[in-house]
Amino acid sequence: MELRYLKYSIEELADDKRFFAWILNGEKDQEWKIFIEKNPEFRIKVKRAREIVLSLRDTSNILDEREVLKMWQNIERFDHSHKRKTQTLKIRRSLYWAASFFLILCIGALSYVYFGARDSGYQFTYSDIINHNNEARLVLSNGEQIALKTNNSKILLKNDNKLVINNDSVIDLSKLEVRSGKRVQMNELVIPFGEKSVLYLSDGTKVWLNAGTRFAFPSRFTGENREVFLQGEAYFEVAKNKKQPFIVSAGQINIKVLGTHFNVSAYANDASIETILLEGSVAVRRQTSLGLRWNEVVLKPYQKASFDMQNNEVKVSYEPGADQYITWTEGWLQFSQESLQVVFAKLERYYNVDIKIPGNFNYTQLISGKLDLKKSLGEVMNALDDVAKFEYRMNGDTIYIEQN
Amino acid sequence: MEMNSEKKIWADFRKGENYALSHIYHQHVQLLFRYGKKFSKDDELIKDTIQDLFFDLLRTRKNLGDTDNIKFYLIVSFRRKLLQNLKKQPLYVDSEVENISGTESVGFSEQELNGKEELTSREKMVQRGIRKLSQKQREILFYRFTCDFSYEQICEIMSLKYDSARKLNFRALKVLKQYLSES
Repeated sequence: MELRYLKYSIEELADDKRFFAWILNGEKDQEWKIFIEKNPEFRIKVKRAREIVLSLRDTSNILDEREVLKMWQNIERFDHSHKRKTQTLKIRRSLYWAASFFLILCIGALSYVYFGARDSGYQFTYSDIINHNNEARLVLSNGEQIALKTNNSKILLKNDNKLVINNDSVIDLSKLEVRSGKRVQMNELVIPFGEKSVLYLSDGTKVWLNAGTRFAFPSRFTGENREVFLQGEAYFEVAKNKKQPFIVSAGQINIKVLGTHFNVSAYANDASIETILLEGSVAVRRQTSLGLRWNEVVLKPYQKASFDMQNNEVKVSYEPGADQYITWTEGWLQFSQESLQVVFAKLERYYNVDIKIPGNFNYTQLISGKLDLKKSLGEVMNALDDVAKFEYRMNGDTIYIEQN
Repeated sequence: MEMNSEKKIWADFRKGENYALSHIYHQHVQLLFRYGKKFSKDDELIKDTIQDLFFDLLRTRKNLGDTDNIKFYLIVSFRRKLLQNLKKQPLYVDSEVENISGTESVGFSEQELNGKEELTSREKMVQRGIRKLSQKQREILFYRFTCDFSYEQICEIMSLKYDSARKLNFRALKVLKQYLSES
């Protein structure tokens, strides 16, 4: 950190872009903190400048969601009618669009309702994420288990039925396929809490798997659909193939797509399944109570479908911050106006810890900013307790929160 | 994600991609409305102006220029449109609007300056200071602290020279600082 900051007035500090970036996004957090520690007389200036920056920053959403939606519909309608007018020789362009659909889907999860195995019609080999040594592992369709050893592992399923782990070990899956019966045999990937992984499926689809996730996939997609099963959170970049739709089954719902990018988060202990779409079109489907047919909700860009498992209801709302739902693939978390409760729940998964919050804890505070998940949990908690008003105590894998 | 860079989104919007329109609208609609509220209490007029702005963008999308700062592009266009629309309004105008039609200076109203619902006591002190500021000072603080605009951009919007913009901003910050240290 540059010494010239020490000579800055409160005004100059508040107006400094790098100071700004630290206060609002936590950029260079460690450097600032060390700098302040070394120069205690600087602290009061920082405090005042911070108060000014935070109270001048106006990010309130004062326009009602319904109004946002109404205006959007008008704009979309205008767009369509305007396009129709100008669309004379533009058939090629519409093809181009279809090819570049981009979307994000997110299925979220937070109470203790078990879903997954029974509902999606798929039974994972192991009922628990955690095995005795809590490591990421691949369970092949013949039951053979392979430990992945490293965090951020990369697994590639090649066209010739070979599976490559971390550009290193190669497994020939064609030898396993022989014993498969009438049903497509699935391989499973189990990612424990605190880790993540990238998987390339045989059709070219790329899947990022987040902490505490189980994912089942075939070595090759042979059926009518490309069906995979998810419990946890994943981000997909699906290879386009209209003839063979890609279907992600997650608990009581499934998501049908035709070649696009999306994020699904469906943890077993969450009360609702949330699906967020950034671009394109995707159908979120659930079975009717009799299980005879599917009810569908087709999402538009930046819409979120929340499926409440208890009431069996789907609500659709707008989610302007949809990008934030996939920042985990890049190793950081971004929040805007998020409650501490949600932040803690995510940290529990990423760092594989238990965060204990007192019953009388006041959650009204909303958090905005970035957390770097490559940093240690201690560093992340220090950054958080600076912004939010709480104190914490770490005892092994348990963190006790106290109201400040 | 690299594909989300502003330049790319704007280029895709010009090409007619649906996602880009959606992204641009949803990322900025609240900011534009909040900004509009500083000039007028008339919600309907603000909403109409936002819609108009997007209709215009769609009509002229192929001829639009490059930008790597969509927010700036929108704020500049929206400001121009809103001021036009405010001028067109009939004569029951309140003082703020008169001010605009007369001198081109902007009526940045104080009560709408910060829509935050729950303010800490320190923030309330800053708010008290904000009330003492001139409309131009409030406006520059909005560009600087809520929009993250550079001085060059602010000079362009407010037709100011670089030095005067800095002076305006620093005088405003000084007032706020005084309110904070009084406690």
